[in-house]
Amino acid sequence: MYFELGQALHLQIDCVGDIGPDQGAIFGWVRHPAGETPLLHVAGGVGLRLPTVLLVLHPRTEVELPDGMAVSGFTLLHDIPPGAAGRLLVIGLGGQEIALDLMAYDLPGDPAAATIARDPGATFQFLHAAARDPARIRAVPAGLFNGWLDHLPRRTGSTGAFLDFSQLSVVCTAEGEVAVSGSFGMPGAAGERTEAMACAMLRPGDGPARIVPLHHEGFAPLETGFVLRGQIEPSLGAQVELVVQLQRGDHGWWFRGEAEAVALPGLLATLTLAGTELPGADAGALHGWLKEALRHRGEVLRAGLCGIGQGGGRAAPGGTALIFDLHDDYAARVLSLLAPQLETQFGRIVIAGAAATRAAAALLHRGRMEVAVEEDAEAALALAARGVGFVTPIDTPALVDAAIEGNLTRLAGHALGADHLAKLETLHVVAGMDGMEGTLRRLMAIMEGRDLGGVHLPGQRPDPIGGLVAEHLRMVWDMVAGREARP
Amino acid sequence: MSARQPAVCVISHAHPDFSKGGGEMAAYRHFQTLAGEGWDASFVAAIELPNGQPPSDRGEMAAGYGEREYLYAVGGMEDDRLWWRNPDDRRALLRLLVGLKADVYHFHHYWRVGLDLIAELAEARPDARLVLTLHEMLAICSHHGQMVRTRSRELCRKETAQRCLACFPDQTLERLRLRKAMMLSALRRFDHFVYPSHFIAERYRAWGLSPDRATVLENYLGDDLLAVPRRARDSARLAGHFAFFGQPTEFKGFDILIPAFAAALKEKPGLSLAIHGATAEETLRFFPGVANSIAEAGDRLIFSGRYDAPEVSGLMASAGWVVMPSIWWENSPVVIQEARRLGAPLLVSGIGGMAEKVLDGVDGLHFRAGSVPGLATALLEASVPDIHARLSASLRDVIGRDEFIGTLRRIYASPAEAETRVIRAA
Repeated sequence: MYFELGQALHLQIDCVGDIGPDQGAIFGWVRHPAGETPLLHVAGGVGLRLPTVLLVLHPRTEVELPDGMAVSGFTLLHDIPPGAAGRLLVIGLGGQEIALDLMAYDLPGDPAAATIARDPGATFQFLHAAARDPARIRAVPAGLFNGWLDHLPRRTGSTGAFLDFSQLSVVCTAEGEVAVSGSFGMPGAAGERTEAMACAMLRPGDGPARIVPLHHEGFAPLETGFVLRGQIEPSLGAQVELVVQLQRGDHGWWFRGEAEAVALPGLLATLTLAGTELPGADAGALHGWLKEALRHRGEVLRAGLCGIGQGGGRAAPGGTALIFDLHDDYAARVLSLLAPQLETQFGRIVIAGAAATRAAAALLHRGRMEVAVEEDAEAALALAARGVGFVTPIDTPALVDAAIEGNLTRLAGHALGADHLAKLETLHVVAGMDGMEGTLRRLMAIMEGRDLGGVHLPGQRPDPIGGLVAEHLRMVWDMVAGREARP
Repeated sequence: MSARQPAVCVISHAHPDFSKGGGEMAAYRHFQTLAGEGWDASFVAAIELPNGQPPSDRGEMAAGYGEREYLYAVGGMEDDRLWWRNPDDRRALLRLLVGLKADVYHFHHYWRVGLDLIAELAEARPDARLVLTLHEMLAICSHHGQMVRTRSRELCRKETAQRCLACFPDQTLERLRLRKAMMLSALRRFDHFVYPSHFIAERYRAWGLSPDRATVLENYLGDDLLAVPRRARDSARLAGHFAFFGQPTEFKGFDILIPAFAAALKEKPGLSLAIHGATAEETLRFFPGVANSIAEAGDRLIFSGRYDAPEVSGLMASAGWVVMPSIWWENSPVVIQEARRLGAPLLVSGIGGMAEKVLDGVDGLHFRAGSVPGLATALLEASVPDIHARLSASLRDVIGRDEFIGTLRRIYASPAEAETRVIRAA
């Protein structure tokens, strides 16, 4: 409903309604003299100002705009204290206040319906703000956005074309690092850079979805594509979707993207727009943003990773040997030949790899230690960690070294206690580049004091962005080794 | 030393009734010598019969074969014959060995025996002594244990995984190191190692086997050959007559010997060369490049074909010199021992076991391995009767029965009694 509150103050109310017993919402726009900013709040009666929970202004480009005037769309959310009977919208402009009794008119009163109909940018802003402050803004629990979210284009599956994008990737790691990136199928106006925002929808099993904000949210200001990253709390077993807003010039896109569960290489591929040829300006912009983003990532990881690789101790007899990469039949033979010595050092052995079953058969036949086989290093680590006592990871080169030296006691020198094991999975998620096997191998190398400087990083790009990634990973592993030079 | 001789089980990768390699010959003579001394000795040898048939008509994988001799089938082993694919067969062999109740298990190989069998026996009989004679370098080198580079025939002087990878580019460093780890892990189960030469002992020491539990002990040639009287040679008649004994295989140096002889013959037409162990056709099949040299040598070069071991005495008696031009190391060639035993001085490549067993200027002459001119010069020098006479006189004999048995007795003694000694240098 449209109101002319004065010659130069016009108001459109799109919706006035409650989003719960104690919060109300008002959507609309105000046209006012350019250069002035309208101040909006709600009163429960004369002189009874209701606390404003949220006031967000946004453009309303579709509203006619006479010379010298400006228009501000608004989303106003306010508390409704007990006993607040009235509902006045108070507009302050140029030192004067004008109040409109909202209850005197038959105004649209369904905020949920209004969120679907109104400018998606306004709804997204509201959603974004609500996700950031769920304790204060109770719009999400009230289901205010459900209809709008249901109407959004939804991307499922992995990378590929979607909407106006020639490529789109949405990913999430087990540690809750999320990213979305893609490239536009059509060029924009010269110099128009994309702004990206997102929040996440978590759907745990059969429970209701939750909207959560992205911490450390940031985007690369690109012309031909977009990259955004953020962090959510790891949510085991929950399906993660990102609700994304992209704006480039006058164009905007809003969509939901189901996040593919990825390990670190997948995350880095999304952050670096792997496989996408970027023009020089965008390559530079991405480089600059990524440098800062990775620096920040390193800072965040520092506390959790610092010195993990320094903590290994000598295993007491009876612990678990974790042989996680037994792929070669010769390795199975070596293990079998070394069985008597291993049995004096370990009470249990967990083996993973292509030749694990064969190796296990020989050890099982002897019957002198508990033997378990797992399909891969990750599962083997999980099983080993469930045992009692230290876990000693042993890779094939270490087994070979010990066998050639004839000194198996060296194998027990880098055992992991429960505290280390708990961190190992996190380490793998945030710093592993080639499977748990690779992560364990690197950790062992660190524990043995070997230099990782020459460690090959799989899939490293030859360009400056690849260099940034490599440098970041080196820094992360240096943290693990406890030898990082702090900035 | 205990009054009772230990019961000894000699285990070999083959039985001389079925193949005539140096290792199995040495193993069998070892067994026969102990048995001849009245020791409680047994001989267990691998066999591969046609169509994988077991040696027993009852289908058992092991069977008796004469008095205190046994044969076992290796069809249940992996293709590399280093490991048992069929654990039942391995356990059957283990039962046989354990059932022999030996105090000493003396192996002459691990190939066709099984590294896993060795480990299992070591655990099943911790009270017994396990001894291994290493006749070859298969554990060190995947190139048939020859330590010759695969691509160039260059001699290999040191094993490293990186060098091995250059020889076997289809392998990986990890697999090559695994192979070494596997070999060492199994071989370290032995209580003692016997090497027939210092050369091979040094190669195994450099590779990683401890020299502290090792003895260099020459193979014993057997009572029959030791009983042959050593007669003085007629140098004036024999100095220009050379003989070669062996098969025409890649590294035996046929392509050195025949051109060198043809060249020497131009200088001294009276020389002769007899090649025992090969025909001209066989030689040309392996070494087609020597056809011209064979033609040039004419009837001064004789190919006498295969020979049996008992014929060696007679054949060497008619030779002035025995020539060994191998282009690989040769660990402890029986031909050298036979020649020394029978009084024929030698011309040998100056490398490896040949250089060790034939002292230059004492037992014969050295020439540069692989060098046609070098061998031609040596042939001419050797054909001088005075030189032949001098070296025939200084030529050393081989190890005798008493020394061989005495050394084995010390090796077989319990660790407390054992005394590690290097017995013979050549």
